[in-house]
Amino acid sequence: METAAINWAEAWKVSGMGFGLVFMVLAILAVAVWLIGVALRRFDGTNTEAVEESKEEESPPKAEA
Amino acid sequence: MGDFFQTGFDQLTWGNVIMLVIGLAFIWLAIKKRWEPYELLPIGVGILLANLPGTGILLQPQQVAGDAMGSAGLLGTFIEYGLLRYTILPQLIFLGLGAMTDFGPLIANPKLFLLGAAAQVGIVVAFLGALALGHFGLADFGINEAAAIGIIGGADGPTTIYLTSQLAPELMGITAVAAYSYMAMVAFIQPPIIRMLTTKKERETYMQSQLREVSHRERILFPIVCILLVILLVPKSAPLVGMFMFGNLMRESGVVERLSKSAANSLINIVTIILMLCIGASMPGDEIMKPETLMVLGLGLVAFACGTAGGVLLGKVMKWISKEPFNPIIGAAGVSAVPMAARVAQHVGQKENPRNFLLMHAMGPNVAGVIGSAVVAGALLGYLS
Repeated sequence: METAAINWAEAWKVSGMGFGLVFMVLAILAVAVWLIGVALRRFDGTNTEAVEESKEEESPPKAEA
Repeated sequence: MGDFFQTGFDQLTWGNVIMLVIGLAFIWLAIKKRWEPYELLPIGVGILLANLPGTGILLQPQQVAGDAMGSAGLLGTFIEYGLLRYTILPQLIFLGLGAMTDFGPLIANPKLFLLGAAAQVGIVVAFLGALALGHFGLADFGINEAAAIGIIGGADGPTTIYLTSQLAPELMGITAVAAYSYMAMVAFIQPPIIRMLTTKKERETYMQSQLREVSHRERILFPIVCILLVILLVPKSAPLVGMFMFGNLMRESGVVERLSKSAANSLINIVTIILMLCIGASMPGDEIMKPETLMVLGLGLVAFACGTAGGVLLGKVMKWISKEPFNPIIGAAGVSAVPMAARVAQHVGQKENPRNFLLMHAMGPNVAGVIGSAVVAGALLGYLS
């Protein structure tokens, strides 16, 4: 069999860039998902607190003895 | 009269006979041993049909002259339109997979994404290994063939088929069989590598069994964010990532239950039947009985092993950095092979420490690996096609 002419510079570029790219994309996704999680939990927390507060405000005052 | 009694016996080659035996072995493994039966049974039948001579069943429409309407064979038509010309079959499988996937463990702990990325190192190693074989004249592998072989390390059947059908269609059958076979064998391939790279103390590490609760809104936003970010960053990954996330959005939205159920059941089952028959039919004896086939199988195994090692090694780094207890075994699940690789992590972890319940933690890198291999496939397609 004849030796295939391999462009090793291109091969290393494809490998390095490919592996680097998958790390970069998944790292960006990880940060995005984490940020969304934090934001939603804060928003939900604020909302829950607001709902609880409004419930407290709406509830009739306790009769004083 | 003579034509009427034409048989295939005189056209059988030794290559055909060997492939018929392999096809029968696949059917036996599927039925008797229950090894990936949903894949190996139709692949086995596809191999039989492709290696019985004189049937014309593999004749593709593009090979038929214009006036010979109706001459194309059933499997040839599926192969041409489903894989070579439009590649729709693996994409439809991804739609069904998305509808079956729970991203909850990954959303609860997004740093596990990195383990899914690290495990893709197997693709790089097999890619360079295939090129080295070509360089030394041991095989006729160019850069496209090397990419098709390397993607076996993504441990994802549809991704392997999708990339190979576009870059090196002549390797489609064998790369797909290698991917599915090694996926079935992760329980044998991964544990020795995990044990070799970790100490007993590391494997015993107990991780909190409860993951944080993921809200409905987070689950809905996840596929949308993935579609936007991943496809903007790697446009050629759109067919796989787009279908995967669309399937998941149908599941998580809860408003199209019928569609979601169809994608996760009827659709994926129908497409699996056709796709696996095509894969089997892509293995006629004269194309498979070559030394390169063994090299592809060998490189696929190397890719799986290196992917496992990559995930475990990053797991060790994360254990070192992490403030909370972190078991590096779960990194092995980053090779995809959903859910078998996650089960292996659970099994190995529990064997070392009966209190360990790593399955949910391992599912994070496991599904991240699916996204990771689709990203690598998209990047390779973008560069090489």
